[in-house]
Amino acid sequence: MTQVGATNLTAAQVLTAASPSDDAGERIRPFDWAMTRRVAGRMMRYAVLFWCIMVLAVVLAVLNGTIPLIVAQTIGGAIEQHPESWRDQLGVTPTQWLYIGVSALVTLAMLWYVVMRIRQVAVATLAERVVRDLRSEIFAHLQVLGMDFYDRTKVGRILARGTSDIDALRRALSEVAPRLTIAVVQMVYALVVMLAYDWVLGVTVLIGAPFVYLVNWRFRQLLSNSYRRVQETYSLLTANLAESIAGIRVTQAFTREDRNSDMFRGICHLHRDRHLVVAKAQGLYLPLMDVTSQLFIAIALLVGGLRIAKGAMTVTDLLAFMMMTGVFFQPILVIGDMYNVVLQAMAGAERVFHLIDTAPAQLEPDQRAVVTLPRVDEGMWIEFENVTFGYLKDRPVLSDITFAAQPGQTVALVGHTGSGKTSIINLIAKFYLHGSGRIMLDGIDIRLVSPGDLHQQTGIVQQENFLFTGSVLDNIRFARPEANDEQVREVCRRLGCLDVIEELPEGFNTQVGERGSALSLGQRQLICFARALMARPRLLILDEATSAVDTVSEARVQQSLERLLEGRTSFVVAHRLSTIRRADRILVIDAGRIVEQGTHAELLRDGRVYPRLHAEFVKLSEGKG
Amino acid sequence: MRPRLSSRVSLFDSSSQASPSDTAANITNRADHFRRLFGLTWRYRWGCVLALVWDVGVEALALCGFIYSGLALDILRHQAQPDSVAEPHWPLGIAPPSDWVLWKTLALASGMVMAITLLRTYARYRTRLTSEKLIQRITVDLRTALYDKLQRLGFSWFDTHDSGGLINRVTGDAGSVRLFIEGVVLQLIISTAALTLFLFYMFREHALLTLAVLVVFPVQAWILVKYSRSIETRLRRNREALDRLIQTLQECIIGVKVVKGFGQEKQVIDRFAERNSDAYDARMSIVKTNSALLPWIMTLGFLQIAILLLYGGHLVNIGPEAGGIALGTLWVFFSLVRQLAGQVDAIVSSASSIPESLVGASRVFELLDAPIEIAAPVDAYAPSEIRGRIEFEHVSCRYRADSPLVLEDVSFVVEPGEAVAMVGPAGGGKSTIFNLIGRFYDATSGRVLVDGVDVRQWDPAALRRAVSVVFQEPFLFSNTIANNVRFGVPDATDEAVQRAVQDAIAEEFVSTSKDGYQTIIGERGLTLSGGERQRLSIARAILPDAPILLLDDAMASVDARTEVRIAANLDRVMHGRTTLVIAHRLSTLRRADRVLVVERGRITAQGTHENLMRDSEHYREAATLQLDHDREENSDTIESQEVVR
Repeated sequence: MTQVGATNLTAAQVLTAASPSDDAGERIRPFDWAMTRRVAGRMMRYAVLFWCIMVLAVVLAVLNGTIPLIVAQTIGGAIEQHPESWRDQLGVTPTQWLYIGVSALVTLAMLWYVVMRIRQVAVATLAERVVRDLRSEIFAHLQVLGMDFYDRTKVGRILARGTSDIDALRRALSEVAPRLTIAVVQMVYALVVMLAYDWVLGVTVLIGAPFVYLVNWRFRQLLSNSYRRVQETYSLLTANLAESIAGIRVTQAFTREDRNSDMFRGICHLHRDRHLVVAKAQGLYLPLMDVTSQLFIAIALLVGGLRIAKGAMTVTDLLAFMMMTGVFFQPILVIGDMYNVVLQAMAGAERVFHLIDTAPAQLEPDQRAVVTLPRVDEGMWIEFENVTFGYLKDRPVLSDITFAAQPGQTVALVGHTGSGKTSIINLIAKFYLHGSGRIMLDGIDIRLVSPGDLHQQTGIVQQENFLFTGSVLDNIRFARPEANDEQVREVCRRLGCLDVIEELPEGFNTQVGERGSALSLGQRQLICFARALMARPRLLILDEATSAVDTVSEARVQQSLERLLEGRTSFVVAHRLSTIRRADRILVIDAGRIVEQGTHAELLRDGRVYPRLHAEFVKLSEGKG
Repeated sequence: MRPRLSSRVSLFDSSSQASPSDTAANITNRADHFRRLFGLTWRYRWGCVLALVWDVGVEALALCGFIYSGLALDILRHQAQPDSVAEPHWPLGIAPPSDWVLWKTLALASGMVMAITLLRTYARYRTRLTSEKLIQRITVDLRTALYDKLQRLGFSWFDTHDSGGLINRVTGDAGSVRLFIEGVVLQLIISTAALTLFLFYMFREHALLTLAVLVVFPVQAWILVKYSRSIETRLRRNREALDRLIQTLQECIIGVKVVKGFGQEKQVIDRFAERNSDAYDARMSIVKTNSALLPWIMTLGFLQIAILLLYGGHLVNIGPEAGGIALGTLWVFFSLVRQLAGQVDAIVSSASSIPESLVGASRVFELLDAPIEIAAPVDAYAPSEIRGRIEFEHVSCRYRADSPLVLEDVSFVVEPGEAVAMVGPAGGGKSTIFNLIGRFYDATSGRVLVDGVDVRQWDPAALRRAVSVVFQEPFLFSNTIANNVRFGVPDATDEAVQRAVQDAIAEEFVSTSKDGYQTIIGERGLTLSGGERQRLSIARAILPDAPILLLDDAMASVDARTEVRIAANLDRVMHGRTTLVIAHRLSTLRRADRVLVVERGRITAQGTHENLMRDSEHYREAATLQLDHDREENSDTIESQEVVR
């Protein structure tokens, strides 16, 4: 029986046995000095701010310790009547003493407010700046990374770097250093004060502290283990829920409703049981700190009482002592909290830096050797000479590719999926660098051309007609941000699609929706054409859309396409017979090789593979196209 | 549905715009939701009472603990200054013998503190467990009720609700209903009980001191309310800024080829930087509000202590005999004030979560109240034997009241055992005909009959067991291959599963995958091609051995040769059963007993393929158009398997 994750359910008892891959990755990682130094390095870009925060932390810790002390001294001094008390020595009456103490307390409280306020702003400013810098760095690096990175990394995973990982880091940045400082200073301060009041009692507390810390630590472990198990069932629950909704039609068609409900109830129960385990651990852990301080108060009362009877300390001292136990033990909780935050931040930082450290493919030529492509009006001249290429070292996808495209020619690439059409296009656009052989652009070796320079002269139309959220105008202008509205209109006019766009609800200002979802496929295609033309490309790369066109007629798209191809060197991954026939040159590609090339007429007459292929195309089109 | 477009923000916008909040719309139903939520709470009243009892116990024990540690202080003080300080009173008059020496009395008092603390820990543990059990019971009940409802809603309901939102209803929104019961109702009762208990003690000890101390709480509550109001818009702005940031990031990842292909890296980097600093500003504006208001709560806490010190210290000096209080009592006050602050906090935060839980609750209730459109009638028809005759009588259908008809006056009959193919352009109405046969939707007018009985008279479960469907989109669950195939017949034997897989010509890739039939399909397991998925969904559909089989373009991604083999097997398996096929290949049309041409919601021609090809110019055109269209839609696979071979 296939077991589902770390549960006692079998695959038959659930709908979704494998939770969809978790883009977040592991939640925690062990503490790592190198990583910490790197993060600290980012913080040190704002060194002044950082040290201000540390100073404020110390001030705050001292305030936290002093306020209870003042409380104890005020009350003690006011009620005690023995000759050695400070009050008697100063000659102040109990009521006066009360007033003095309370004024001191109010002053410190106001000071506390001011310090706290400044500190909060300072801490957040530092953390947010580091986060902002890192985000920008990630994004900029993403732009540098080559297509190889995007091919092997899922979108969700990259997104998580900029969102959840950064958030984990933010939490650590804004909390760990300042709060740890406060915690440590506060403990030391409390301990010193306690020892000063009465060393016997002080030592008692000191002996208890490691014990408290250990118990605390053990519970944390217990809690985080059982919490992880809750997370497991939760993702099982959501995964099953998601697939139940996605597959609702299948469920109803096969009348599995009741069974699915039972299945889901089973998962809910498992999830509940694990929650109860957490609750049990929490139920013991949360009162723990409270118990400790109460127990120490009980001990202090007993031990202190005997010492008072002996005359070794006063009731005021005992009172102060009881208050200081709270100051002493509270940071232990904080330190435990911080520990988890740090481990989570480690996991986040590791992934963020891993991304930043990912070396981009070496596409940029050496600065000294770089050659600029000519800026002329005619199309680009492209030659492949015995080019080989593979995405992975030992797996060639292209071998011995040789062809030439004269300026202004349209080259159609024909072949089945996986034959290597897209790879050839990836090489022309220098999204990848080829292996052996030579690729010449206008007679210049592509290795000496900067991809940015090439892309300035390239127009690209993808099969999926990707559009950004925004208006039609924004999308067309994407290829040349400096273009004005009139230039955009002119481009559409040249494509012969101005009327199509003007007929949209708000014309050029129509919002295209997420990835163009508010537009029909045909409209999207035309906008992509316009965007490509906007770039005034000398080289055009077009992956023909496979889907049939809707409200915008097929003829309309064909006409625009012809105008787009005019006067520039174009490479088309062809899916339409009409496009293939009209091409100046057809490359027939199979298994990474060019098996035949020539014009449609030549290939029909002399070719071996092409006539068969064409016949299939025609048969499939049954007289159309 | 909320308007999507207006709330989305574009990569190109530089200004941040606030979208109108949509909570206002729900206000009219508020009272109604409150009533229902309280009704729901009433169902769990005993659990609530139990949690309440334990919690009040915890608070009472806390009070006792404070009283005994205060007592110990008084004993010590009396010992140190026997003349000026009166002998302390033991609570409830239960005192140790007066001849006990100091250390014995002290040990008794501090022993009481320890014992009470341990008892209290136990009570807290029980409280936590009781309330968690209650919470979990509510959550499980709600989730299963929601899930059960989701399983039964019709297709048309799912057409208009997006799946992300639905998931959230079962997880997040169910959580906010729970939050209402746990956080609002229960917490309010508990906090009120604790407050009453503490205040009762405090007022009995010294009313004026109690009042003086209490003054601070309303001020703190006022600050918190003010805070939650001013933070709300900022939180929303921050969320929106973050959404925009993530959207830009996401689009630049998905559209990376467009960005790179046009060499526009710099343009998007600048745009991202803008979004990034917007997000920074939005975040800092929250921090500024936080830092201005939240530290006041703690500062006011210090001021409260100052009041306690000033007035309480004065009272201690007077002494209990002269209308003041003992030092121990001041200590108890001091400790109780801290406890009270926690309770006031809890009340304020639960009050501020009311709007949120109401919004969540309204979504939960909306789902629970959604009518089940396809319900079983009384005396539902559920025969033991089904012949498989399908008849459409003047059927018209539209999916939504305001959308055009997708089927218009369609009539036809399919006799038991017949194999009928349907052909026609996309959107012509073929899939709708399928949907009506299994009663996944109801016809707008006219009747759909299976075995001569209106499908609306059928028991939907019996009808659907009689009809096996292979959907156009071959959805498989992320489970083992075997479990996917036996989805419709969970207790099918391994042999039956294997037979079905063999008939669907899927045996080969199943047996070569790592764990054979136990291989898990999906992102983390085996990734299948479109054709392989379709073959498994065909296996799933033939396993139940249903009298009617509907194949909605089920072999579009299967290569031609395999299709022929599957078709041959289907002929054998489905012998004597009714088959309806939406076709995309000539071979399918040729094989069918009869072909229906479905266009613009009507049946425009029917007959055998040969007859139609010969007699109808229109059919030739329609058939070829259809084929051409399908080629383009599925060019990837067809190209690979047919073109270059």
